[in-house]
Amino acid sequence: MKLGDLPLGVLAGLFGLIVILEAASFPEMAGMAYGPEFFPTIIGVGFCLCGLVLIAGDLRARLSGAGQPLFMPEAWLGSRKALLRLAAVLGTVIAFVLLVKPLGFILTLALLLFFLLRSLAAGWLISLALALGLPFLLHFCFTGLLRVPLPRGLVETLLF
Amino acid sequence: MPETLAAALTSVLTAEVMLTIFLAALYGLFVGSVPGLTATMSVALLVPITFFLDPVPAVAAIVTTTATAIFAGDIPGALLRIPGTPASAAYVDEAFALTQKGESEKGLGASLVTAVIGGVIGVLLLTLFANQLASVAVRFSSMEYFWLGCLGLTSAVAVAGGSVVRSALSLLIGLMISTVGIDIATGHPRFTFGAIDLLDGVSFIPAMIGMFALSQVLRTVTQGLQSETTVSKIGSLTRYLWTTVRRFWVNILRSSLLGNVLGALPGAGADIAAWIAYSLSKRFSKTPQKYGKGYEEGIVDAGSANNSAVAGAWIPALVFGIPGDSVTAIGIGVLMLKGITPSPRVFQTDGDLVYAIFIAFIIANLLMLPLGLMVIRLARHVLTIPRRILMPLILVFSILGAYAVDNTTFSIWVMLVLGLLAYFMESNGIPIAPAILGIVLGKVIEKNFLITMIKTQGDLLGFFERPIAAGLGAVTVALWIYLLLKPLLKSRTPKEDAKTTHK
Repeated sequence: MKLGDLPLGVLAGLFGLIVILEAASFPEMAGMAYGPEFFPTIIGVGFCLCGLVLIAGDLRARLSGAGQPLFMPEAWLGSRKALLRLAAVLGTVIAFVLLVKPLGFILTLALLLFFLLRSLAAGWLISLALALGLPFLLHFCFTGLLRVPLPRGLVETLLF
Repeated sequence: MPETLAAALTSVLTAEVMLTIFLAALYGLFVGSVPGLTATMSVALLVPITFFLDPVPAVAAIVTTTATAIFAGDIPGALLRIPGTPASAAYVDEAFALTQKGESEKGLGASLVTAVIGGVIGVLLLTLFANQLASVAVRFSSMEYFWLGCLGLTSAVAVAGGSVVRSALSLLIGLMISTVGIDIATGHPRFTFGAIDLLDGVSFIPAMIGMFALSQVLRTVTQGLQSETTVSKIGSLTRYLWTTVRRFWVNILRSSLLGNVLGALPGAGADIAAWIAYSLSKRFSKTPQKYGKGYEEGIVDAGSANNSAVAGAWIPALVFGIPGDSVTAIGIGVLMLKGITPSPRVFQTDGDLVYAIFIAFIIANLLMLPLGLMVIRLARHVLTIPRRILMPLILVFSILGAYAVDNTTFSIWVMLVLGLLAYFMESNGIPIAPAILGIVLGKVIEKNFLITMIKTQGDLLGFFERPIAAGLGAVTVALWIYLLLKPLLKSRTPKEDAKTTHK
């Protein structure tokens, strides 16, 4: 989503303030003028300044009658298909994290890959082939060639 | 020196390294020629694999992938008018105009041969400049490093193009990310929200995968899965290779040097080198009226500049540990994991390794000639791979890559959050590159600031006490003043403004 300069500036300014407040709670270093709070404070001030510049620019444009809308939704936000595809991608990432330990790498990846390919409207045959083939190939590459341990599950215990 | 070179040669000319270079070249050519997949993204996805290789093949894989991906970006640019990587954007119209005239071979031939020559010259210049710079830089201390870091950040904002405020915002986001974790001076955890996994800071590789790969997947699935499939037939282009060199060798040499220097500037990568080389080419050309209508000269200049910039970006990366672009930011991380700390002494401590990297770089560029010819022949098939299949595969490699780096699912969360962040940033016109430099340089700057403050007992003037530090400091402050005044100067001269924003 695209924000206008005014809300973007407000967002940056508020974030800067939170950073400054949080930094103020850091312990000071004994005998030193500059401790752990020094850099975060500068960054926070930087965010506030950028925010002010954005707000000022937006207000000036508004006064001269050339203001931009506060919020410019992108075209795809109106498309149900695009939203579902986005949800499928994000859901795949989250589901992988949650499922990989209980189910093991191969089963998780096979299920999710099939789900994602079908969500993006890939053909049945290619989806099935990739979902059945790729997890084994990657499992071989990572555990066999590169020696990265991947979470084990039912399929791994049965086969290896 | 001769022994170092001999040792370097023997470590490169092994079956393992050569096979790695060959595979990485194919991978780079493939990724670069698919629109939307950038060179940085291909390297970020490659990193988990390089972890388990020896140092020389690991870095060879990275440099090969970048060099070939930057060239391959020209292929869809010429055939479809879609740049494969941002580095090809500068001359897409030129190359496509040639294709429309039925002369796509001419444009692609010029692209390929200048990429190869520009790349090789770039590596030779890298060897020369890095050595020279290192001999000066051995005397640098924390004050100089502090200023170098600041200079790097400033130049990242200055060259990013577009709005200075938005570049600055991007930089601040990067710096903010770099402060997460245990504070080096007191050991106090900062901005970790109580998460133990964040005590070491935000893991860099998952962050890069998120910002470059996941954000691109999100953009593609929301905006359009339809890929354009009409690709014209391409004839043999071997005869254009030699004629291009004979006609434009001055341009190739000039732009290779220019691209190399631009690539070495932090924040300015291959894409900016191509833009500047193209506009300079037009200005100095004897026939500027032919530009934009399908004339190779602009392609020659920009094409050699962007491939030379790829090598140039490694100059500050090897000598100072300050990345010249997003790819070398990842490269530094890989070097460190392999036990090579970039420093002015790197030629003494790891000389054979550094020269091995240079040799691998040259081999990669030379290999690009035959492989490039092959990929151009296959372009019709590569360009028609459906995105509905490609995107799930990229997502799988992203998840696996993020996971494999630290062997923890927490890295996948990092990837997800930063991917969404990068997507939000790009939607709002905030560039990504300054943020990457912020993440890398934030720690460098803070550490060297605190060390200097301990040395000088809190006296800020200490940063100007040593002559080189004072010089670097003066340049940095001058750049800050210029950046602050630029918007004011611009608003006084609206005519000038209209001209410069048109790019």
